Amino acid sequence: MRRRTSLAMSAGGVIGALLLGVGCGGSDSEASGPPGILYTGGTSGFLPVGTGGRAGTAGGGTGGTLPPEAELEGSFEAPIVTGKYLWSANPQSGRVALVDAETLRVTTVESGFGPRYLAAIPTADPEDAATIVLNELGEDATLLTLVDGVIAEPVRFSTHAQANSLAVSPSGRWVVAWSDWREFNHLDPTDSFQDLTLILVTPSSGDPCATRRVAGYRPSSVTFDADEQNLLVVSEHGVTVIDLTDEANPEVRALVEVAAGGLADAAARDVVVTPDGSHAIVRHDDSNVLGFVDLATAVITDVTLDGRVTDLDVADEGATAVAVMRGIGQVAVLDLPEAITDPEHIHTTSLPRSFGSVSLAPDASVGVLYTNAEPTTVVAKLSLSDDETFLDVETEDLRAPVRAVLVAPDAEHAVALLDPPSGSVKAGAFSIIPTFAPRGPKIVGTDAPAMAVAIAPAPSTEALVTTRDDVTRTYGVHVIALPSLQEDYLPLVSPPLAVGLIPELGKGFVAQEHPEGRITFIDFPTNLPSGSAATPTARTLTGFELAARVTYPADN
Amino acid sequence: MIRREAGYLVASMALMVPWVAAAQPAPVPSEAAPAKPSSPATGVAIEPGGDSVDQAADAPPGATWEDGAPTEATKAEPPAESVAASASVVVVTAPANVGPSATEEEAPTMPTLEHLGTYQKHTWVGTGVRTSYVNDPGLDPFAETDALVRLDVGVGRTLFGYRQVSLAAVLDYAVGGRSATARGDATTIMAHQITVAPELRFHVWPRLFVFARPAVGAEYFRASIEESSMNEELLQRAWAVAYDLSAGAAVQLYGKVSSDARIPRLWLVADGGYGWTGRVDLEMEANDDSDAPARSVPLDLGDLTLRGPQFQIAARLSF
Amino acid sequence: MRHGTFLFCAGVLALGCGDRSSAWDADYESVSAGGPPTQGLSGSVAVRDDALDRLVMITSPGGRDLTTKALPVGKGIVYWQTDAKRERLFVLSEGVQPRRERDDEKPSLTVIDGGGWREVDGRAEFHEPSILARYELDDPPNPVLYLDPEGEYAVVTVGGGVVENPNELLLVNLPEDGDDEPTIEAKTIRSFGSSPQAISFTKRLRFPDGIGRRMMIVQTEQEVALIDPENLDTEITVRLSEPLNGVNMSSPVEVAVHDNQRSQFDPDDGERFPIIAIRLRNRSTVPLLSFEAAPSEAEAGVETTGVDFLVTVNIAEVGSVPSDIDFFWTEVDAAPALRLAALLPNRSEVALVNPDANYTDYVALGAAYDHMTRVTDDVAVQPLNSDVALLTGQSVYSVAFWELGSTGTRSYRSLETHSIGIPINQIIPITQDASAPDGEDYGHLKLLRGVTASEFYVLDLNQRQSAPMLTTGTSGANITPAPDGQRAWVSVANEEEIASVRFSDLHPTTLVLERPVAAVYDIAQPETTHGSPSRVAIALHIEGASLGATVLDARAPDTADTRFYGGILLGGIR
Repeated sequence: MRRRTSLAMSAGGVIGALLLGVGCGGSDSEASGPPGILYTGGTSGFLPVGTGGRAGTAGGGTGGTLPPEAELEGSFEAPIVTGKYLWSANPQSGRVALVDAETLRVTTVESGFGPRYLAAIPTADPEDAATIVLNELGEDATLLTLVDGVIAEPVRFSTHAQANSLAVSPSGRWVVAWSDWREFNHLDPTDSFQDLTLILVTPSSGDPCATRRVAGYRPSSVTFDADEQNLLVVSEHGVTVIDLTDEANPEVRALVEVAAGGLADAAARDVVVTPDGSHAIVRHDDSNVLGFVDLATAVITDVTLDGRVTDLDVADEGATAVAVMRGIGQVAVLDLPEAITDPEHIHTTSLPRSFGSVSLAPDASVGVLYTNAEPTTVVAKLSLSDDETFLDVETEDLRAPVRAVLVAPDAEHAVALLDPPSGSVKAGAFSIIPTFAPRGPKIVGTDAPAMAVAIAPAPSTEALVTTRDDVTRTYGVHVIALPSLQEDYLPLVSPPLAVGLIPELGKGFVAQEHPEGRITFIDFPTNLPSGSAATPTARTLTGFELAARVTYPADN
Repeated sequence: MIRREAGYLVASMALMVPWVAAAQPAPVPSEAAPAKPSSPATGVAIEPGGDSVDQAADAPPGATWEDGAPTEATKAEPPAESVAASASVVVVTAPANVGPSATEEEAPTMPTLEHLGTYQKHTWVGTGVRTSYVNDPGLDPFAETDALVRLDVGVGRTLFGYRQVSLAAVLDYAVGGRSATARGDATTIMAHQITVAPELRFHVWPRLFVFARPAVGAEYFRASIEESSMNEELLQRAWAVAYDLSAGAAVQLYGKVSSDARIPRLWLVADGGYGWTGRVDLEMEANDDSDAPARSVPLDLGDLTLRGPQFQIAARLSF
Repeated sequence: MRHGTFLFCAGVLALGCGDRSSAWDADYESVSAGGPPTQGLSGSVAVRDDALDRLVMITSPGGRDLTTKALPVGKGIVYWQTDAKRERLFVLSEGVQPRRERDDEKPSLTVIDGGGWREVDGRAEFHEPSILARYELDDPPNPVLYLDPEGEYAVVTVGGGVVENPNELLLVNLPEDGDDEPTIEAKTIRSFGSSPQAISFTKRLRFPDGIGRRMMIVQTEQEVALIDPENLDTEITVRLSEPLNGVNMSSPVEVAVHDNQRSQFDPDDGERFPIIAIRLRNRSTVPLLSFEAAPSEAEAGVETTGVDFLVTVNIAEVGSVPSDIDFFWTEVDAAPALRLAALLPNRSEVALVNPDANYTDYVALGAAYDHMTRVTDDVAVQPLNSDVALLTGQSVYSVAFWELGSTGTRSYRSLETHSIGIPINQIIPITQDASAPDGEDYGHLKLLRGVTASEFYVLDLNQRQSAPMLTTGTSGANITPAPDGQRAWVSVANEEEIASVRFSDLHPTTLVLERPVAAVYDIAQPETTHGSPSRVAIALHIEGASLGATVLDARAPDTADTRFYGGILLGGIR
């Protein structure tokens, strides 16, 4: 179960879609799902495990029971984009590189001891850029801002120990540093990771400051409500609500239990908070009950569906939730918040076959159903438009087992990452699925498993899919033009870490593993969306740190 | 090599040793006291005013009597007056220790400067060591110092003499050489000089004269170098005109007093002056029958002019 | 007794008076360090005479004549070297060490004009070898000298002593033919813990600030410094590695520079500035330095005072440790495009890096070539927009002609390999000086030789043919092309036989001289009465304490028409 969060943090910067969530259902010991390839959002699409992406709990089934669906997680170790700038941290040198994607000029700035995690901070002026950097070893965070082309003096905040994640409020006024327990190995039961550091970036008066607060046991997500009045921290205790009204003294207002019995079955549930922050929706594995928790009143309202919910997705607009019931082959569309109390606002339809997951368009106009619990080559397009096509289902055979699906921000297309079908000599594949246009999907075989996807914001005219095979050392990026579905391949020298787009510059980028830092910028030809004879060209920038090691004459 | 010059010197010195020894001054005979008026039985009565003959008083210090008899040249004739003056004198036989008796030969006497006799007119042969100081850089490949020592042999004869001045003719031959290394290559140079010269002499004393001698002649050079790259001996042989201008003095070391008889006289001669030879190009080449590479270009070691001050110590035997 | 005493004293005086120059007592010292004992220049041959602290310059006024001239170069020769044109000699001397008296000679650098016959305004003129300049140094120099190929600068380092600053360089501004006052400036380069390992000079390059400047490139163990020799304060240092825990140092071993200019380029397409590539020891990455105009201070966010441009660093990944790098032109879409080529013998490939895009393409070579030489200017048919390279390898029994450019999907036009009997470790170019006869240009020939082979090859780049030249029994032969580019001389140390190989017909002539040969040099002479150029070959013989020379006609050598000069080192001492 995921809530989509767009990380388009500034007017100029564009990122792909971030899929953020907690592993749902099952336990790690039952994992038999996708072969360790996990996905990240962040500034790009997905990241493989081992580069910081969190391992989803792909639980295994027992006695014929299909395992849980694999989740997509976010990572903050990849470079982030703010406007036309990329920020990349180098824990070794303690510096953060700022790359101007237009000129490829690199500027580095001292951040702290072991900078590792970054988050973009929206700025009022699209020409400016800001980022917050978590310095892992220094146990502090650094605020870096670029104003009028000049990097301002960094501002440093002490954080709690072991902070490894960042949550930024929609306006960028608040940043929360927290500790995601899933990033750690060998946990002790007393490792509660309950500390939070609330950083007020733009106070109404005075200087930026940071305060410490404590949430429930082992938080799994941190979000803000739409008006940034409350900070909502989902943990095994429940949902901690922190009132941000008094910016000088944020108050822990409540700890709302999300299930009867409190901590019971904490690991077997999935909690997502609605965008407006009014409710938390709790899904339990092997349960057909969705718990809607009123975060204001702590009242839990159970909504019972016809089948066990294998996946629940809430659209960005916050008014639609889709629950997939794999066992009975049905999907339920809930109008929020009406569906909590009125079953009339729960619309159910049968599916032609069994699907376990859903990926929703941000505007909730369409959803793509799929399953990765068992090799299935078929996906289904579920119309959510408020017209006669509502709940229409159309299936597409992608010829290769589906691993994950990401719907474009403009909802016109979806990109599915596929595993190679049996009998194929290819190492991987992906497919571009027109969601509305009467066209079949384009299927592309790849020489390495497809790893990550980035799709341009609306109107989504380009998408990037990276491939990676560490055994054969085959790395590359596929550039897909939308809606022409033209596909071009550009090989990469190093394993891709993150992928993203900068539409204001007509560029995409792929950050790669390299001790000195490496990013390949991809220039899209002007007519690419409509099908251009020209092919995308790439320019690779390697060695951010070297630019910092150029010493010029002392003075003139 | 320097040993050669030293050898010349030692040889010269060795030759001169007996002459030097023989030239030790003879005990000067004590002056014969004028004959005293002897006792009536033995003395010679001399009229006051008469001169007596005292040969011993005329003899130069160190003179010796070889056999006690004066030579003809040294025999002084008694003045006639003294003979006449002795007519009234009773001649008494002088005692034996006074001197030869008048009945023996008359003692020879030193000639006067107007009549030097064989002191002046003689023929001689001589040998000596001539040392030239040659600072011409052309000598440097062949010598570590600027000295060129040569053995000198000469003959001469007085041609003309008038009173103290005389003119002699001299024929001189000098030979000498040096050897050294030039950057590791062995080098030698030999110079043979023949000159003729008039010697203008002035007797200060019968046994001492000074002279000047301008000489002209020819010098023959033979230079060689064991050149390593050719692995052959390269030679240069050349003639050059030679000039000398020297002046010196000669002193008799040995010889009879009498100037009449031709008797050997040993003279020690020392002179100094300046010598000069014509320029010789030191173009060293290999012999035709050597194994030097074909069409070897002569090795040019520059040129050499043997010029510079020189001095000579010689012994002459005149007769 | 006084006579005897006088005689004896006269003799002693004779033996001891006067003295000769100590030079006559100085045996020839064989040269064991600081360069070869002899060097050939365009118009003369120089012989090092360390015992007398001088060089003996041998020239030929004509025919079989030789003249020598001794030039003093300071006590204690430490090192000597010719310039690229072989017209000047540079000699480093340490002077009297330690100095006790005021007049004890100080260390020095002596610049010598080799002299000989030269073309001046179309006329051959003879120049005596002479000392152009002498620079006194404060400290003894190290036995190394870095020379500017264009002859404007030389760099000396000083050392020795209790404390030594290895980063202190002495930049000598060399006079042109005696004009201008010579200058010497000391410069301590910026250091981050390393010291200079190699120094080179670029030609004049145009930088984004509009200034054309030459750069002195100083390679240290972990940095590359770019210094303007005309303004030593302009120093840009690029640190190639940060030696942190577990991070190995990146040491530069080779620097390739390209001006990125070509006549076909349209200025309206934007300005192009130099590119520098740095090959690192044991690294498969090649840093590329490029230059761009500095933004206004408001935009930069960096302090770049001192120069009005920025150095951008981009690292190219070439897949394997390269053995050689260089820039080549290739053709893309009928237009010249610059590429960095990196030879990868471990993969039998060459990587072609687009420096703008930092994109690498690979070309399979089929053999482990480890050295490449640009030969575009040496071939008769020169591609319009691309280069031609000659590839050789120390473990490969072939050479390859690699013509860049693109055809269809291939990023090169052709790759032609030819078998050859020896693995090549040295390519000797055939250069020509002004004395070369018109129309007889053999620049398209290369002499190829291996390490221990008793043969070498004459490679014709136009015909793509290689001719073996057997040097039977003489595996250590010295091969020296004549400066007029018409022949090569082959000699073996301490052997009496030499050979001349004529390039016009590859005819070898063996000449048996009369003494063992140390080296053979070919120098210019005035034109003959018929107006044809004349040259003379000088074979040097070093025998123990002496030096001799055999002179013969270089163009038509005949042992029946020679002349031998012995005792060359005995000259010039008077």
